[in-house]
Amino acid sequence: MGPDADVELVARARAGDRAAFRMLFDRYNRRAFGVAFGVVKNQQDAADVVQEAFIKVHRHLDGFQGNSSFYTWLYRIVMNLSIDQLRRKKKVTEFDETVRKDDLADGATLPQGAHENPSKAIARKELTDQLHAALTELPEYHRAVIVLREVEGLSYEEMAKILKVPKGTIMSRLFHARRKMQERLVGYLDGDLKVTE
Amino acid sequence: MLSRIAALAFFIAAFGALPASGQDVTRDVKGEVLVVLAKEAEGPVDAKLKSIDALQKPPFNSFKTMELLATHEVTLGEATPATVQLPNGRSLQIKLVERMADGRHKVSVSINRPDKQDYLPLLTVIASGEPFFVAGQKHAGGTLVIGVKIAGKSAKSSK
Amino acid sequence: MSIEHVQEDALNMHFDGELAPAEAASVERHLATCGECSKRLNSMQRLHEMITMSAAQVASEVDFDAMFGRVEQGTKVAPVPRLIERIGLWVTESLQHNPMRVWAPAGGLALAAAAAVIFVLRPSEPMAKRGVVPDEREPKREKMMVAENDPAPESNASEVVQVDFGSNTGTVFEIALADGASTPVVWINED
Repeated sequence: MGPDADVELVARARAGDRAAFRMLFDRYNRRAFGVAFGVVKNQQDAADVVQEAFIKVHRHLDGFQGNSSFYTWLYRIVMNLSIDQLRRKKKVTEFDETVRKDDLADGATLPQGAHENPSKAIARKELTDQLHAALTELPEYHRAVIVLREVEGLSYEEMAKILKVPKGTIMSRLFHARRKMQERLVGYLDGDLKVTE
Repeated sequence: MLSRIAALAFFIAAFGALPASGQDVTRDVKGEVLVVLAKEAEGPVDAKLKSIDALQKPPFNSFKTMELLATHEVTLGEATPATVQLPNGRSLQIKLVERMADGRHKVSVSINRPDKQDYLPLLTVIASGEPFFVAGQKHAGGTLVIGVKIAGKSAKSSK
Repeated sequence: MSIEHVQEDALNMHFDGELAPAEAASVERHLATCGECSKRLNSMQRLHEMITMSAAQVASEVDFDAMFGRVEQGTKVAPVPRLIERIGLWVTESLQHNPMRVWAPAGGLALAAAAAVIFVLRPSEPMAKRGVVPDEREPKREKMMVAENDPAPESNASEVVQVDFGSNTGTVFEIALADGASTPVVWINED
């Protein structure tokens, strides 16, 4: 499922094939969400970003020249919308303190899946909370880079294209973000807490 | 003169004893506190708890035994917090902070040993008629789950 | 490559698979005998696992089918005339990320761009509103707007505003209920 398959789907979607557009959506919705969430740190905001991103993609299919890959184009839109959303929210919280209370339980439901040991579920939740807090402390462009790298596995070159900055800037932001996260999460990264399922 | 002073004293005393019929009625807020002991081992689940939706979902549904230790009816006034003794020796105190325009009530909850601020010093919740839970304290081989439900609308009472 | 420890940049690049093969091999040889550098690498691996687990977990809670429905609604609405929208999109994004792209062009084009900015840039508004997309969050925002004139309808949700765990640690989360409501839970960690 590489970029070539995307090219065909984009061409079909541009011609009005809604099934093709749905396939593009299904292929990238979770990944786009992961990226958006990594930046905006709020489930509803991330969902809004992804929804708006795909609406924009659909509206501008005609204008997509294929000079970059589809996912590069999509992630660029997702990044821009995510940063817009962050800035919009920052302005709101400056004069409306009550909005901040949402952060306490923002998107914070325990996973419905398991009848797992409650202590384990709680420990995992605490780990996630610490991670989110650490990500929130990063400047937004550092956050964008570490999320693109860790969630999407994009190369430095690909990230540089998406964010339209030199590769050296990507490396500097990524290494700085990692260092800050490691300092912030030192007890969790070295300890015995089992992270993976 | 003396009779005037006596009459004055009488009126002052009488006034003090009269009910405050000229003042606003006191609006107390009713609530309920459930104290549940939850254990992972297989065992009975109290019938009343089976009707509480949240207790049937993660993480609570991992507890195979749920015993309703106590149900406390509480009343919160403007200056009168409610205090509930917990089975582990701590006290749960609920104070009414604000009556919201939308019918909900902002309350503060704390759990402490007597005369100390050592456990859960402060929790502020805007409560509707639906319960919220404070859980995690270890007791008698299980975990305490405290459900707090504050009435959605004030119950009026006059004194 | 330092013979003592791997430099931070090189270790990061090695972790990301960005080193040339010869350099990567050199780092691998060092890692085989250096506990400290191995530990640094493991820390990166754990961070990676945390982030991916968190992203997957949150994504699993989203109803993407419903989202696609809203996307389809949004794509059906007649768009702003194409030329002005393209200008607006380009200007909006460029102003935020590369302002010189907008202001550098001289004369009439700059004026046209400025006019488009005034036309297109709007104060912050809920994203769903732009396409007049029916959105489940709309009713909530409408309630907020009428609150000044009408008494707000009674909300069904309890919410945690503030928590101080004192010397303990804990977490706050919500349990989603069948009717769409949610119940907040404050969990105190007792070791």
